[in-house]
Amino acid sequence: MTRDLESITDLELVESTKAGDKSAFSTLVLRHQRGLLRLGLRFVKDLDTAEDVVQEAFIKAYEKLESFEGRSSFKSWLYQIALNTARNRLRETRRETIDVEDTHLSVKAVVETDMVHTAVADLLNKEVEKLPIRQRTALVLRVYEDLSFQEIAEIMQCPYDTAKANYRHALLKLKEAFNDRQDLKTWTLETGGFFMELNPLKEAEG
Amino acid sequence: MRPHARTDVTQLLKNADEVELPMDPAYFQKLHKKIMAKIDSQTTQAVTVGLRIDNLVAMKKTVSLRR
Repeated sequence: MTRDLESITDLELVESTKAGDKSAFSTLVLRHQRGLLRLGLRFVKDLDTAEDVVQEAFIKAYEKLESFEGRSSFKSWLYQIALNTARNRLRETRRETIDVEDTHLSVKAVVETDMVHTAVADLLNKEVEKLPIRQRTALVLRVYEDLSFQEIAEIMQCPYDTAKANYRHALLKLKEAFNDRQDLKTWTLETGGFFMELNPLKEAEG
Repeated sequence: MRPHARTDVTQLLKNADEVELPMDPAYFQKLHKKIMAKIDSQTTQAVTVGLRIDNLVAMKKTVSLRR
């Protein structure tokens, strides 16, 4: 009896690939390409470059598959490879001194109609960009990818507490950025004051 | 103190999210095809390199030496 593809785990597909079944790896690509592209886009911003990151990450994963022992999930391992690839791309891009900030502001201006919301969104995005890479990684993986701190620690190859601390520091920096902006402070207070009441220590518990 | 401060922060970050993935399923089919084609070409390349005449001679020498 043939099993439904969805019921086959990543680990089983990895084992089949190691045994020479390339179609198993093809299924892994189908399963994870979307998530990987989203992750890549959060760091490199441009779709073509993000696509390159995804391709490179899968090729590296395929080449290194023998070294994958299943101590972490395949997804964590793959994300780790993709993050390193994206970081390398970022370094290259920075060397070429391309300023992506202008593009990104104009896109927001078209999409958002609420001026205050635009200001908050722009400030947030700028502050997230300014975060040290490890804090930014922890924040992105937690908030946008909904990963647990255990998974984040695996991807970032660091202890669980370090992953948590990186996330906490990222939130603290965002809070400070809002505290420095009186105009936005009023707005955030009016709409519930989330940054005023945010307790990052509690936040990191999740 | 509001009980759902966490939700608000993550929600704000999500609202400010600029990442938009292509909606067209054909995009992902194409991407998948590209990735698998690259993997195929890498594998073929590795096999071809392995079968190059100098490698085969070297392999033969190693086998002879072992004997």
